[in-house]
Parts: sequence; C-alpha cells; structure tokens
Amino acid sequence: PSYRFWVRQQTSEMVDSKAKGESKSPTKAPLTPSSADAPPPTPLPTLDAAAFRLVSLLGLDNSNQSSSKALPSGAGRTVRRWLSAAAVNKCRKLSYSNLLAAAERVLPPNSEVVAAIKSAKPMEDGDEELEDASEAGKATPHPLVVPALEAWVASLAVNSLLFAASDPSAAFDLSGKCLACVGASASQTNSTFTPPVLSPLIARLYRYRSLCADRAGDEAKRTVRSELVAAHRLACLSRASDVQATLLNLILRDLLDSKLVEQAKQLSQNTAFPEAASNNQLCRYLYYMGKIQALQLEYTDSFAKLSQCLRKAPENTGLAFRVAVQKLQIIVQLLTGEIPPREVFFSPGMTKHLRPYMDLTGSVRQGDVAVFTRIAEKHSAVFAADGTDVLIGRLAHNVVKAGLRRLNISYSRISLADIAERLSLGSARSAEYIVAKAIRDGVIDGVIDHDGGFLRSNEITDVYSTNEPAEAMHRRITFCLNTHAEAVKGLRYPEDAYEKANKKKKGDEEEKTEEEIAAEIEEELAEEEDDF
Amino acid sequence: LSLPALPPLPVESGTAASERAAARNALEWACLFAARIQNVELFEPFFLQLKGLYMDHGAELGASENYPIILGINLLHQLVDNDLGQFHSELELIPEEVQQSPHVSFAVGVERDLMMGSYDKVIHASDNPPNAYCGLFATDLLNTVRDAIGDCAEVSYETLSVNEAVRMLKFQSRAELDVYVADSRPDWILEPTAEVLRFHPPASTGLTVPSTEIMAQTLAYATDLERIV
Repeated sequence: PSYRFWVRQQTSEMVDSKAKGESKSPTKAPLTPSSADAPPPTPLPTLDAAAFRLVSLLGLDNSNQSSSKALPSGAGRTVRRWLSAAAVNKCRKLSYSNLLAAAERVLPPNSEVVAAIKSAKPMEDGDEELEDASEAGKATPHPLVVPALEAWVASLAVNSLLFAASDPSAAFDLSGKCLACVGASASQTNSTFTPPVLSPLIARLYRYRSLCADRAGDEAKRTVRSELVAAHRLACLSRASDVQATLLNLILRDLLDSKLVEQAKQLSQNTAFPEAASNNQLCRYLYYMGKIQALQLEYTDSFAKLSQCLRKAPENTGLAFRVAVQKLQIIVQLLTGEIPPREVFFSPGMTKHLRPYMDLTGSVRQGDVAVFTRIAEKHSAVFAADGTDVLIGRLAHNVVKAGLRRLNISYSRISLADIAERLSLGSARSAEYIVAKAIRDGVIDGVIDHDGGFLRSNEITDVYSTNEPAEAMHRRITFCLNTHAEAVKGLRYPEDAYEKANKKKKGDEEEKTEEEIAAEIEEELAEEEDDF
Repeated sequence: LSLPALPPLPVESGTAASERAAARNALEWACLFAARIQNVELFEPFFLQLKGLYMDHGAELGASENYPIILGINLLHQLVDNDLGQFHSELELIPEEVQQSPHVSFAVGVERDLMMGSYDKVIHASDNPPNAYCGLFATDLLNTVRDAIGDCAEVSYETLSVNEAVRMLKFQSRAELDVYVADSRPDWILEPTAEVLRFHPPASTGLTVPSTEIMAQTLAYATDLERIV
C-alpha cells in the first residue's frame, strides 16, 4: 500500500540526509536558508532531527497544504513506529545538558516540561560538549504535536537521570512532574481521555517511573502503586491499549516483587490483557502469569505459559529476560515431574547462566536427595538472586519420586529396605509410606506386598491395547487445531488497505462507461491473439 | 470502643500508633485464645485483622514476640485443611528471619514430610510440637494423615492383614478400625474369615470403550475441520 511505501521513503531519505549531512526533505527548507549550491550544512542535532521527523510523519509540518485541525487517524501507530526507529533511539545517549538545550529549541518556550527538566539537575557549565546547533533554527511546532514531543523529551530526560546519572530520586520526581504536565496539556485538547498519539509515550513514561520507584526506596514504591492503579483505570476507559498493557504489567511486577501473590492472582483474574498490545508487553504478561501460577502450585498451566512466552520473545534482544524466563521454566518443568532436555541448557548465550540449573537437574534425575541438597546449598546465592529458591525448596519430593521411578523401572521386585537405603529415606517403614504415596500419585506403577516387604512392579502391558494412543492423539490434534485457530485470528491486514483499495476501485469505475469497458475487452482479446 | 486508626481505612492522628499497638496486642491474645479452645472459626477472622496490622504497620510497631507463634499456628491450620496454595502464599510473605524460628520451621517441615509421604515422620513430629498451641492441632493432623494413608493404601495394596492395617492407620484398636471403615470407607471389604482387609472388590475389569468420549472428540474434530476453508 502506498502509505507504507511513503513512510519507507521518508526513512531512507532521513538516513541518507543524515549520512550525507544534507537536508533534502522539503520540511527542512523553511528552517535552513541554504540553497542547493551552498556547502552542505552540518547535520541537525539528533534530537531536533528526530522531532522534526515526527512532525513531518504526522503531516503537521508547514509544507502540508491542508492545515490540519486534528491528527491523522493512524497517529498512534505512526508514533509507535517512529519510536522504534534507530535515529530516535540514538537520542537516548544524549547527555543531559545537550538534552536540555535541544528541548529548549524544540518545545514552545512556556513549556512546563522544560522548566521541570532544568530544575531537576543543576547544570555545570562547560564540562560536556554541546552538539553543534548552529543550523537549527527555532520553530514553534504545531500545538497538536507539542504534548507528544514533551512526553518524549521528558522520557529521555528521566532515562538519562536514572541510568546515566544514577540519581533515582531526582528521576522519580521529574517523572512525576512530567506526567502531570503531559496529562494537563493532553486534557486541554481532549477531555480526560488519552489521545491515541500520546499512548505509547505515556506508557514509556510510566515504565521509567516504575523503574525509578524501584531504586528510589520504599516510600516511592508505595505511592507509585496507587498511582499505577488509578492510571490503569483511566487507560482502560479510554481504550489506550499501550498504556493499559504496560500499566498492568507494571502493577503485576510490583505485586510480585512484594510477594503479594494472592493479590496478583486476583488482579489477573479480574482484568483482561488488551489484545492490541505490543508483543513485548505480551511476553512480559505471560511471564508474570507463569510466575503466579507456579507459586500457586499450578505447574502445568505455568509451564504452558512460560513456553509460549519463550516462543514469542524477540530473538535478538532482551537476553536477560529470556534467561530469566528460561530459568523459571526449567524449575517448573522439574516440578511437574519431567526432566528438561539437554539442549535447553545450551541455548546460545545462556550456557553460563544456566550452569547451576543444569547441575540441579542432574541431581534430580539421579534421584539422590543428599546430592540434591548439597547442590542446592552450593548455589543457594544464585537461586536466591533469581527468586527461584522457594520453588527449589519444593523440589525435594520430586527428587525422591524420580529416584523411585528409576528403581521401579529397573527392578521387577525390590525390597523396601533396599529402596530406603538407595534413596537415603531412613527406615523401611517410611519408605513404605513414601512408595504408597508415589503409587497413588501415579508416579510408579506397582503393588506393595506388605508381608513380604517388597514392591512388585506391574507387568508392562501393551500400550496399544489401551486408550493411551487415542488420548495422546487427541491432545496433539487439539493443539494443532488451536494453533490453526490462533493463526487465523492473528492474520493482519494493513488497516487502511481495504478502504483505500475500495476507494480507488470506485473512483476509477465511475468514469468507465460501457463503451470504454467494451473497448478494453477488445484490446485484451487483441493482445492475447498477439501472444499466440 | 472505636479505634479509627486501624486498617483498612486508617485515620491518622496523634494516638494512631498507640491505638494500633493496643489493637495488635488484643488481637494476638484473641488468636491465641481461639487456638487454645480449638475453635478454628474464631481464629480465622482475628488472624486476618492481625495480618493487616502486621503487613502495613509492622515497621512502626516493632517486632512482636507472639508473631512467629501465631504464624506457625496459621500455617498448620492451612496444612490441616489441605490448602496448599494458601500455605505457600503465606509462606512467601513471611520474611527470612522469622522463617528460621522453630514455630514456623515446624510447620514447614510438616508440609515437606506430608508432600513426600513420610507420614510416620509427621506423626512423630506432631508428638513433639514446639509450643502448646501446635499440640492442639495434633488430632486434626492425625485425621488428615490417616485419610492420606488410607488413600495411598487403597491403591498400593491388594490386601492387608487387619493387624497391619490397625498399625498403619495409627489406630489404637481393632474396634476403631471397624468404625472408621464403616463411616468413611464404604468400598473397603473386611473379610472376617481371613482377617484381611481387602481394598477393592475382586477385579472385574473388562475393557470398556469410552464411547461418549470418543464421540464427543470426533465431533469436535469434524466441526473444527469444517471451519478450515
């Protein structure tokens, strides 16, 4: 569709112009007075360039003939796409003073955000290189796009304060002020509902705020939780799916950090995760759901969610996230009684992190409780840091069960005393109880002969004469059908494509009259004859 | 008597802290009292209120010495009810140091033994509780364990001599076993001649075809496949 092609064209122009240091696109013409034969001007500073790009993408720049009173309908998507462009991401590396200077240039002079940024960090003169801003004139951007620019600049400032300057409390205050400003300026244009153009940016601001709150201390954490909940309610009402998804994830994360698992579970049951949210947010949501279910002893569901999360996770980035999910998935799989396959531990980039888990899995497979406890203690620091130590504590009886299963398969009859000795269970009496429980749980298949004091395994019957194959096939068939249904649901067409195609067709067809149609058909027939 | 400073809607005032401290003491004694008279329905609401006080205002009120005891009682109570999800959630909320205390670790040990199935360890442990209140749960625990052993035994043994059954199920005498089987285990058969407890009626398993299931499954496949265009 032509819309997409236009965007791609703009992107390539943008990249070219930055590379060659020449501003070709017409939007820059009113600002830079130099003509084509003047020496190529120095490239615009990164933040200004990115800001102007957004303005041009939204069609609000001066060159556009129709002065738009409202943002185009696909504004939210445009902003999201613009946000993920590489040139925009470079702005994250700007130093604080550069950021402030650029903000003063790009935003209108009475912007509260600029004031907030200025006051958040005292400026020291002359210790950082300012970008060459000689070419950038000052132009007041269109008022519709000001909140978006403000929100974006604010998020950059918070990011810089938090990570570069490592000042979480200042970042926290700044984020609070900026959210208030952006909210105020948004509500001037619209009622309390978030306009769609702001939705990805506000989501980003909230995410930074939550990160700041984490590092800034308990006071900040308490205030932020109620804020997040209130904002989530607003976002649900205004159907801002980006903000809604991000906030839901942030609240879940906060609850899980404070170990309020019950509340997290109730929250997840009472809310619906918006379907239109981005893939990354969906991944995070699946991870939190998996974690909640694991803590609530629903291991099979948890394993399914975590596997889905791993499948949807991006492959090139976010290694730390994938490692965390992988670790949790391994433990949950052990808790369901299955042993994870070896290749899982050798995924690219994760081998080093998963080493303790591999040792643990080995000990579970062996079925020796003593070895298991020793390894768990040896790596207890790692497990505590990962937050999986509670789940590992529950693994003890899985070790015993795995050991029992091995013994049951290898022996047709084994005395209970021997079992007790092999698995270091204490006495034959407790071994008897444990074996009885294992039989009841379906881990092993056998019968205890109490008087003789041994366990007799049942004869391995022919599996095909039971219903087992049918059930296994049924599971696989339902899985395939579900995947098919999801794939059909996930088919996406560009949203405007149908309308545009329709409009074009209608526009053309009205002009054709009958004779013209007949003439066309004759031409086609003539062509075909020529081909032959 | 009204104390506005209590959660869930605390009203801050000058006397707020002392109000909360007083409330906490009162609730703690109420919990312990309920445990002593073995009235679980009385224990639960008091504990919930107490939990609110601990969670939100724990820092300002300082540590209470009854805290581990009451926590231990609550954990045991959930174990006896077989409420493992709640048990683990509560365990999560307890900070590390308190978990080491004998009251809480007693409950944790009992849970681990229950999961593993070493019921004799459970009984042995419940004979030596760390405090008097846990001992009050001993009978309930015994009943829970007995049910669990019964379930396991059903599946694992074909027959069991009556004496062994009495010993395994921790009864004191044959009569108790009879009463138990009559009340709660209708499918166990006591054969008086051979003095044997048989758990299942003699096997009469033919291979049955689960026809309704198969029909339902196949119909589901048909509908789904037809949807594929």
